[in-house]
Amino acid sequence: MKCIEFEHHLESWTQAASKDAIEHAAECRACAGRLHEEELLSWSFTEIGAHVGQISPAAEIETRIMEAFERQQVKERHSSNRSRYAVAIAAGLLLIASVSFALWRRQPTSAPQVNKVNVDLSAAVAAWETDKGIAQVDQKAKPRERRVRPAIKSASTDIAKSEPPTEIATDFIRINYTSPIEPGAQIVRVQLPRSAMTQFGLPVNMDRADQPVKADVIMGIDGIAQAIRFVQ
Amino acid sequence: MDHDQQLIRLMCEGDRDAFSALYQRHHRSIFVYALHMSGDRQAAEDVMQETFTGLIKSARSYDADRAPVLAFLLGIARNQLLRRLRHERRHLTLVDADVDSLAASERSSQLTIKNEIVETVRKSVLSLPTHYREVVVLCEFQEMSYEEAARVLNCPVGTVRSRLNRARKMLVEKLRAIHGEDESEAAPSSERCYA
Repeated sequence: MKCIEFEHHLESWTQAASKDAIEHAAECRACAGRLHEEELLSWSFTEIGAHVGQISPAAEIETRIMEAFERQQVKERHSSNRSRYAVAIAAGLLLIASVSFALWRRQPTSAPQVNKVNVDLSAAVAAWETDKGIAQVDQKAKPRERRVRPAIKSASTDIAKSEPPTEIATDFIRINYTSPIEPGAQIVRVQLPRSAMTQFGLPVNMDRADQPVKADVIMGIDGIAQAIRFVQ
Repeated sequence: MDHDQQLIRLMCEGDRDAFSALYQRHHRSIFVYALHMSGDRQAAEDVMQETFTGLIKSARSYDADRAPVLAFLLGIARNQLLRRLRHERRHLTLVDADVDSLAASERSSQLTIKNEIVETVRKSVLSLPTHYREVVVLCEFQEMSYEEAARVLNCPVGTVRSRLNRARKMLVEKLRAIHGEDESEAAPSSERCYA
């Protein structure tokens, strides 16, 4: 072994020198010195390791660490409970929102929106009945759609004003034939599902089947609906 | 799944005994590593405590495929130490009451040259730059293989080998400087034949 090989051998030093290295060191004084240094260093490491090995950490460290572990477990349990509460509250809110939305969607069918028009239409109805008569329900005949009758407009300017001029209405269709329409009856503007038109033999535009339709209902003084017309 | 991994799994499920067993198995290695690195018992205890506290918080992120549990713990301890060293600028801490007391007790009985050499090496190790010191601590004091040390340090095995070689040379030079007279006759010189 040459000195340079000896040096390379020292570079890959692990625990002890090889037999070749020791033989070389016996012949070369300089390399013997290097070998001695490395051995001294390794021996020093062993000694230091032994010294430090006698030192132990304080016993209360373990107690503190175990307490930290328990605190963390409690925290995680609380955190888990908080998550569950948050999920429950969120689910409750979602349920309430869903129910509210469903009720809101169903509102037109269950309770039609009513716009009561506080106008005495007895004169108008009487004039209209004598002039034209109340349209009879004819299931076969296709109902005519026409503009709001001028007679009603002139008789009740308030109604005419309240309705947009472009409204188109069917004739009034009698609902109840038991009693004549008495003076004091009122017209009430309501919104009904479009399917209600079929009950009076009127065609329904299926493209707008889900949209409500406006209707004027003549209410007798006894509160019973007497006639209806659909407005567009 | 080895025993440590099983303990980690149980610990994650809240098993106090599993955590205690993990502590008993590894706390000494962590403490010794921290003590060698810092040269200060109080700092070593703090680092050990922070390491296990870190384990409590990050046990779920432990990946058994990447490293054994001890390497994972030493990695946490190393991060804590580096942060502490950066913060406190304790790179050159040379005095430690506990370690010195051990050395002093021996000195009082028999003050030998070898003890002086040991003390010199100990102080020299503490004065090494951190990245050299940690390979000396892991490979020489903790007797880890290069591969194990590389896993802890998160660097290639070749880097560990070269750093250790360089660190040993630096320590030999320090020894020579201090014990120059004693070693002068044996010091390598131009007498060496590199041909």
